[in-house]
Formats: sequence, structure tokens, C-alpha cells
Amino acid sequence: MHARVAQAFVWRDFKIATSYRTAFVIQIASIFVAVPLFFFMGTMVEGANLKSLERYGGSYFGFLLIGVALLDFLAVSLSSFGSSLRESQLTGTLEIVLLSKTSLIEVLLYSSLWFYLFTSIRFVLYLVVGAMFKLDLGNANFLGAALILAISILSFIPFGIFTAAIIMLIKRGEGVNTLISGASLFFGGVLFPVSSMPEWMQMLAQCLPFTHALEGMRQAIQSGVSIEGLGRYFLVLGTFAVVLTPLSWLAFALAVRRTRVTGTLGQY
Amino acid sequence: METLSKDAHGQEDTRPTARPAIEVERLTKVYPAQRSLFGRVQPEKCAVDDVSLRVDEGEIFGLVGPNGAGKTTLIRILSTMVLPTSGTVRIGGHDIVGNEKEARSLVGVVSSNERSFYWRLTGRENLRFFTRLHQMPDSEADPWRDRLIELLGLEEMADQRFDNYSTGQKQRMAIARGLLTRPKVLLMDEPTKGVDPVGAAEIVELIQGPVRGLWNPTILVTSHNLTEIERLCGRVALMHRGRLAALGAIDELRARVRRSDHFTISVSGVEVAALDRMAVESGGTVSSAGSPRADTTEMKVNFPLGCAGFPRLVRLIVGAGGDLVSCSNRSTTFEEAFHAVVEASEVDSEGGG
Repeated sequence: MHARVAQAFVWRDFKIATSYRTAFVIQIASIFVAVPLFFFMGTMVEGANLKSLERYGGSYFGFLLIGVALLDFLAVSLSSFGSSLRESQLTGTLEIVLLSKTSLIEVLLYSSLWFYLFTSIRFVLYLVVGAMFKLDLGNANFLGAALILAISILSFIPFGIFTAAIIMLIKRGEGVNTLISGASLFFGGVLFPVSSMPEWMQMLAQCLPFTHALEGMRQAIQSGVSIEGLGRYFLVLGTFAVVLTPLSWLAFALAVRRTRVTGTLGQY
Repeated sequence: METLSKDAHGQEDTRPTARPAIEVERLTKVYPAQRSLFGRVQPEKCAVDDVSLRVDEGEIFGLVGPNGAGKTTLIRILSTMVLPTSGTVRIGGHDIVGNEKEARSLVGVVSSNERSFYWRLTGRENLRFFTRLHQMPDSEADPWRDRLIELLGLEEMADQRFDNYSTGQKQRMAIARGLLTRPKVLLMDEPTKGVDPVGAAEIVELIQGPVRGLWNPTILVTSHNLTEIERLCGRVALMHRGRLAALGAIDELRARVRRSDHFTISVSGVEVAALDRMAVESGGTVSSAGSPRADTTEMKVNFPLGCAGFPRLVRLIVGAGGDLVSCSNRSTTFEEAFHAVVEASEVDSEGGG
């Protein structure tokens, strides 16, 4: 990790993002529209006194808000690596970047930093605006939530690198993104608890790191579970990260090598 | 192996020892067939075919050829972006496959793609980003970046957003970026592409003067503008269909394809018809003749190389009571040489199947 190089990427992406002023403001403002929407949906669902929500203090509003906010991180993980690669293919900076001392995998990681930073700001904003709508954060274990978030990101990153490897080879990766984020949205428990699905679907859900990340995050924020109590989630998410990270790097290295043979490195 | 004997202006090379900066030996690149889900899309393609060349330290070397000749593939192999199929390439003695990082660290690339900058950042911010990417310490990179901006005449634009730059200014910025790491070898792929003639001439002057004057980097430049290549380069490689069709000094190349001597003469005291007869009698071929003034006849006449026809013509003119007022010998242009080599290469390819 080269801190100065990472800083240069964050600064570059911040400058570019804020140069599109309207889009930047809309991304922030959308939270102020979404949270009230979740609040009113929550009010409606909570009236039904669903048993499956008991685990989350009976608050569908909090359940949905945390689910959507964390889904942002998955979306960034899936899209930022691939989109930064694709953008550098389109603009022709890829070959210039590859000539530098900084490896391509580092370039991809640094290119995602600003997006993670911005998504973290949005995540905090979701909670702050949620609190304005009576989201109960009284029991929340914020340190536990931060640790769950960090390890969740580490378990999501390999999916982004796999996507980047696919983009490197076939130049388009939208299908892969849609598949993983769609599966996570459905099976991961963003809109409804995993326990309300049939058993075979629950087993499928356990294969996605997002399911564990979201459950851990809800336990930390909504139920205030201690760091020790979150150990199971750290272990599962850590295992995903440890197993998938080297595989994703290998896949990416093979994809780069392949494109250097076919001469399609900078093609789009 | 050929070595540079004269520079672009015909001056003798006085370097004591010409060490190789780029060595290419029997390089071949075959792009594999590209297949889609539904079958073959593109067949296998040999982009570079058994090419060998050497570029010496400090030399400005031209790589020319028609579209699809393999120039860009060769440059991309030299910059380690594409892996060769066979053969060896060394940059500063480092093999680009075995010692990829070392070889790459010696190379700077000037791309003709103006999109390869961040348009919403200023020129200075762009360069700062790239110095960070190269992991150069700010204390070293900042003054050097400012010097390059000054050297390339970009001071006034440096703090403006890149999307405000003209094509010529963008190209200068690309040169500045290529020089950031003080590379020993600078690969310039069409550095004047899209630039107007005045801007292009300025870029050529920049390369010849300030850029070369920095640390005398080895420069390999491609261009479709042969006049620029002629101004910049001592030697050239002419590629055609992936092969090296010619390699050497531009003067040698011109001499090699020259098949006749071209003379333009101005004569007084001899009429057009008589002069025409004398030219044919001397073994020449008249390409044009006329009388721009009443007392003078002008003629363009070609003689086969080494036939001594021109002295014979002069004797005939003098013998007929005429005077040779002026005479010029037009040499073969680089463009003519280029076309002749490409044509000969076409014939060879067709002959060889």
C-alpha cells in the first residue's frame, strides 16, 4: 500500500466527482428522499407485528434502512473496480497507468477508495437521517458495526476483482454485476428476513457474504450485540475474504496476461 | 548490424561508441484467432513478422509504414503492453519478457490519444497525479514537472482544465507526461496526429531541440508525415505487412530506390524542339519543356543512373551555340523512396505467396 499514491487517487476522484456538481448533490439529496419512504413503509409493515422481525426489535424501518445502506457497499464493490478499468480502457489511460511503478491491482484498489469513502459518508447519513425519523440507535454497537463493515468490504472486494477480470477479457461486465447484486438483493435479506424464505433458499443465501454482512450489521446496530457476539460474522466474512481474495487476484493476473497475448489490453 | 553514420542533417556521428538502447531480434507477433460464442470472428493475424533492428543510445529513429504495417504493435511490444510470440526485445539491455520491470522503467510513452488525460483536472494536476503514480517524491517531482511545463511552453495553460486545451497543447502535455520519469527511451506514437501544420512544426522543433537537449534520450517516433520523419530522424525502419521492408539512413534509402537522375535545365539560344531532340539523343527522357521567356527554354529531363547522358547533353547544347543558363539536380524525395519500397515489398509478398 502506497499511501501517497492512494491519496492521489482519492484526490483525483474527489475533484472529478465534485466537478459534476448537480450529480454530486443529487447523490447526497437522494438519501433525504429515500429515508422518509422507508419510514412510511416501515410504519405499514410494523403494524402487522411480524414474528420474523422480532430478532430486529420489530422495526422494519431500521431493517430496511440498514439493508439498503449496506447494499450500497456491495454495489460499489461490484462496480468500482470494473468501471475504473473500463473507463481507463475507454480513455486510453490504462496503458499509461501500466507503465508506472504502481501495479494494476493496486490501481484498481486505489480507484475504489473514493467510492468507498463517499459510500461511508452516505451510510452515516442514512443513519443520521434515520435517527431523525426515530430510528432507534440507543443500543447500537458502533465499533462492532464499523468492524463488520470493514471485514464485509474485504469479503466483497474479490467479487469486484472477478468482475474486473471478466471486463478485461470480454470488455463488458454489466451482466455479472446485475447477477450478483440481484442475488444479494433477493437472497441476502435486504427487503425481507432470510428466515422467511424456504429452507433451500436460506441455504443458498448462506453462500453469499452479503447475507452474513447484513445480518452482522443489523445485529450490531439494531440489537446492539457485543463484539464477542459478532465473532461468528467476523469468522464467516473473514473466511470469504481469505479464500476469495487470492483467487480473484489470480483470475485478474491471468486475464491481464491473456490480453497481453491477444493485444486487447487497451481495447474496449 | 547497421549503426548510425549520419544524423538527420547529414552530419557525421561523432559519438565514440554507439551503445544499443533498443535491440529487436527476429521478433514475431501473431495475434491468436478471436472466437465468439457463435464461432470464429477474427482469424489469426501476424502483425510483426521476423523483425530485427537496433536503435542506438541518443538516436532519433523513425518507424514508418502504411496503415496496418505493424508499427503500433511493435511500439506496444517495446512498451511491454503486448507479449511477443517469438524473438527477443531488449531495452537498455533488459529483456522485456525476462526483466519486464527493469525494461519498463526505462521507457516513456507519448500517446497520440488526447483522451488519455483527465479532462476535468488541470494540466498541472494531471501531471501531479502521474508523478504520484510513478511513485516519485514530491520534492523531486514538483520542480521537474514545473520545468517540463515551462520547457514545453505550457505555463499559461498549466492551471486551466485540460478540456480547454487545443490539440497541439494536449500533445505537448502528452510529451511532458512521457518525460516525467526521465526515461532513457521515449516511444512517440504519432506525436503530431491531429495537430495543424504550424503546431506540428512546433512539436517537431520541440523534439529536436529542448526534448533532445534534456539528456539526449533515445527517441523512437512513428508518423505518417514523412517530412516530419525526415526532419527528425537519422535512420528509419519502413514496415510493410508486418515485415521490415527497409532499414537504414534516409539518404541511403533514397539512393537505394533512385533509378534515374532528374535535371531541370534552363537554356538560351536553343529552341524547344531542338533541345528536345538533343535530350533524346543524349539518352534522356523529357518530362516537360517550354519557353517561359522568349530567350530561354526550360526543360525537365531524366537520365538513367550512371549513363553519363547529362554531360553529353551539355556538349550538344554548347555545340549548337546555346548557353546553359541554370541547372538543378532534384534528388529522390523520401516520399518517393517510401512508395518505391512499399511497391517493391508488395511485389515480393505477392511473388512469395
